Amino acid sequence: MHNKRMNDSMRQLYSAEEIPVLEAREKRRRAVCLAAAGVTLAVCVACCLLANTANMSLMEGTAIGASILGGWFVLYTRKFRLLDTRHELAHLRRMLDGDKAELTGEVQLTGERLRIKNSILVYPVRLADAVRPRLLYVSAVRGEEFRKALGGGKKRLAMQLVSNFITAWSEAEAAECAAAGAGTKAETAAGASSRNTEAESTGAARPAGAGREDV
Amino acid sequence: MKFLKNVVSQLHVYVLWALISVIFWAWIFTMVNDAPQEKKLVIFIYGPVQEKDLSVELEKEMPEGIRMIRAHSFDYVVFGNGELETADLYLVPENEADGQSKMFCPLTPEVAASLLGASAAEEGALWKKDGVIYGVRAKAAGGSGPFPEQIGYDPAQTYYLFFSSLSVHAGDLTQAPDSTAFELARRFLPAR
Repeated sequence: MHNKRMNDSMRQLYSAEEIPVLEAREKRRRAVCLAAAGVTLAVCVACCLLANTANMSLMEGTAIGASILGGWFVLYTRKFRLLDTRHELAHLRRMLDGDKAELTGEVQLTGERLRIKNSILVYPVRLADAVRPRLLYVSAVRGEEFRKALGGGKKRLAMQLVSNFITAWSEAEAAECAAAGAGTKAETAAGASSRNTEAESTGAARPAGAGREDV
Repeated sequence: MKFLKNVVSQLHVYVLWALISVIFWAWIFTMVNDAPQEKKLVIFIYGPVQEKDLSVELEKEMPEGIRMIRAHSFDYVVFGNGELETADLYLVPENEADGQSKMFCPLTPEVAASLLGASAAEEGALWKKDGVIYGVRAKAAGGSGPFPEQIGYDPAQTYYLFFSSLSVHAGDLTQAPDSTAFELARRFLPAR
C-alpha cells in the first residue's frame, strides 16, 4: 500500500507500452539493413554478369563503388540505428522485469553522458551524501526531465532503482508526504540496527518498510 | 554533427571495409575477365597495341565455342612467359621473328596455301627457318596491316603471323580439339 502510493506519485521512466513500439522499430531497422545489403549484393552480382571486354573497367568500378557505399550504409545503420534500438529494448525489459529497490537521498549529476558498453547512453548520478560512495545511472533519452530538475546542483529525491538504474523518481518532500499519508515512515538503513536498539530502549520501535533505504 | 561524430568513431571500420571491397571485387573481376584456355583465343603482337580495343573488335566475330578473345602486346608478359607460350597466335615483325621462333609451330605448305591462297607463292610470303615454314605474311613492308587503328606497326617491317606450338585451337597442327585459331588467323591475313 505504502509502496503503491509512493510509486503513484513518482515519475516513471519506463513503461511496458514502449515494448511493442521498440520491437516494431527494431524490425523496421533490421529490414532496412537487410534490404540495403541485398541491394548492394545484387548490384555487384549484376555487374559481374553484365561485364564484357568492352565494359569490364566500368563494371568493376561500379561493383567496387556499390560495395563500398552499400557496406558503409549497412555498417552505419546497424551500429547506430539497429543496435541502439536493440540495446534500448533489452534495457527496457531488464528495467521492467528487474527487482526494484527504493532509495531517498541527495543526488547530483557527475558529468557528461556516457555509453555503457553494449548498452544505452546514460547520465551518471552520484549520491551526494551517501555514507558509502555510490554511482547511479539515468537513461540519457528518458532522463531529460530528471536532468533539468537537478540543474547543475544537488537535490533530494526519492527514487526507484533497478540494478543502480533510476526507473522512477520524485521530489523527496512529496514522497515523504505520501509516505506519511500512508501511515508508515522511512527508515535509515545504515543506522537501522542502532536506531532500533535506541528505539527499543526508549520503547518506540519503528516497523521497517520492505526494501527502503534513506541515506 | 552527431552523424560526423558517429562516422569518426568508426572510421577504422569504414576504411577496412573499403580496403576489403577493393581487394575482393578486383579478385572476382580478375576471374570474370578470364576463361579457361579451351574457351579463349589469345594473340600476342610485337609492338604497341591497344589491347582492349583490339580485343573488343576481334570479339565481334567470335568463333563457336569460344567465350573470349584477348590481344596482348609482348610487353604484357611481366611475371613470366606462361601465357605467352600457351597463346594461339603471334604477329611478329621479320626482324624479331628469329628470337621468338622457339614458340612457333611449323606449317605445311598446304596449310600455308590454305591461309594465303595464291599469294603463298609470292616472294617473302612465308617465313622459314632451316627450310621449314613457320609463318605467313600479314603485312608487307611499306604496306598496311590488319587492324591499323589498334596496332602500331613499324611501316618499314614485314609482319608474319605464326601459330603457337602449344595452342589448343590449332587443329591438326597441334593435335588440338578445334581449329578456331585458323578462323582468327584469317582475320589478320589478306583476303584470299
